[in-house]
Amino acid sequence: MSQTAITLTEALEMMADAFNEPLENVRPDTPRDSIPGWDSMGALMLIAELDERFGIELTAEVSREMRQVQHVLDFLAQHGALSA
Amino acid sequence: MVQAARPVAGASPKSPAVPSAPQLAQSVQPAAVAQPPVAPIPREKTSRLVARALGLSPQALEEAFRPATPADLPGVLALRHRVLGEALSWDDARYVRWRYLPEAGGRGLATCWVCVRGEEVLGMIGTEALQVSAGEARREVHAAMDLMVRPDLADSGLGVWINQTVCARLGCVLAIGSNPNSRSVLARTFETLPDRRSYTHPLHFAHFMAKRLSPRPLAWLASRAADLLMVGLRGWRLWTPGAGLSMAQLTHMDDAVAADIEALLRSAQRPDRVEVARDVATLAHRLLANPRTRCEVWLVRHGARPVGMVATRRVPIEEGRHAVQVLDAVLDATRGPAAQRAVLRTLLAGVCARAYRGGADYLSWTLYDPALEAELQPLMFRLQPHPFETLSWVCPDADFRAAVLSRPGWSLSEIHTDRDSA
Repeated sequence: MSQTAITLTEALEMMADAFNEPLENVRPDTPRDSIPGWDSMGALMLIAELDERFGIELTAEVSREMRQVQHVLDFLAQHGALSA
Repeated sequence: MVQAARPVAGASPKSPAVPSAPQLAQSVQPAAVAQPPVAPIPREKTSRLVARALGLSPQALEEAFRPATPADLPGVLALRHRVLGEALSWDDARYVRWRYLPEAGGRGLATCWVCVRGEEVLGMIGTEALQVSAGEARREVHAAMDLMVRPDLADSGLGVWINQTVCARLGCVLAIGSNPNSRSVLARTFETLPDRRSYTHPLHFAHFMAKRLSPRPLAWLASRAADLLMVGLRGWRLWTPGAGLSMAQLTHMDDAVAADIEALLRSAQRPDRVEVARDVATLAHRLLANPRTRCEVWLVRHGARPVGMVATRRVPIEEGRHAVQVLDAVLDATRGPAAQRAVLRTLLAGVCARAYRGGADYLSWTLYDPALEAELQPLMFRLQPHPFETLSWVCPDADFRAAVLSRPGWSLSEIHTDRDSA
């Protein structure tokens, strides 16, 4: 892993940047459909960020199954990238 | 509608002043204001991630993207079937051949690029080469369209990579219009230009009144009264007595008509806007041989001289109703403002009368030409905000970019898009 685990706030900020969305619109329970920037471009930005920052490979298949912000947080936690 | 004048983003200080022409609208028009891409992702990074997702090396991915050949037609059709589904209102094989892959000796409109893995087409994009000029500055600009990626590769980044790669290979690429999925791709990879603007002119009020008035007889009476009032207003605003203009439908563009149309296209060039070149052969193919939609083309003459042309098509809307859309309009710009205005009104009078008789709810026109738009508002055309009439581009040629951005409008129209399905 390239970087140590990040906090929940940092994870939400990372997603807000990836999806080009204001931070206040990215909460753990926010559904994907409510984030216009979480489309193919947003998904690619998230994949790139996880790859660069943590060396984690988020596959397209797993990415497609993510339906809300919490699923990204769960993924980060599974890979030890989210601090408790 | 017309934005306030603001500085031209990135325009070169040596940009020449935009010359004036006998314009319809005499007001000062603002130059275009461009927005740079938001936090773009480098193509090298996209290449690496997409190649990894597809199990290829970045070099192999690069080689897998190329112009399609006739042998790719089955793969292209299979991809389109997976993306578009079964319920198409057109023969897609005929459409793909018409636009991209003509039979030997035939004519196409655009290049189909494919990303292949073995025999399989994973994604495609179309690009149509447009000859664009901004005053003396000229170059080929490629309009991108029909971007599709196999659904099971969604979120792999392949669509973004295809966009980036076509820009890297072709240089100047224009994206006309967008959809919910392509919007952020465009915002992050293209420079955003001002949106095109859509206008509608009401023809029949039955649906409008039925939604607002009851009982039904009252709605019917109100709609009939509104229809007749609008017919009267159109007669008043569009009537051009003594202008000596005649209008006739073109069903083909043979040699005799072709020379007239070529002359009209030359005289329609305006130095104050970005011109997208038209030619008779492309217009004939695009308008009169389109397998996805039937178009009507009308020519206005002053005596024997052609002074205006308009193309329209019927567009289905919900509940079995339909509208008529202006696909393209060309006006002789060498004539004075009053004469141009008379031609525009004659064209609209003819098109509205035909659309009204055909039962259309409204006439729509999407354009990006403030001088022409200023003429539409007094003719009872209402601006209809549309979130996806976007215009964006990538242009690595700084001088050409500055010349384009110093002009407030384009002669682009619906014929330069792929949105021609019924």
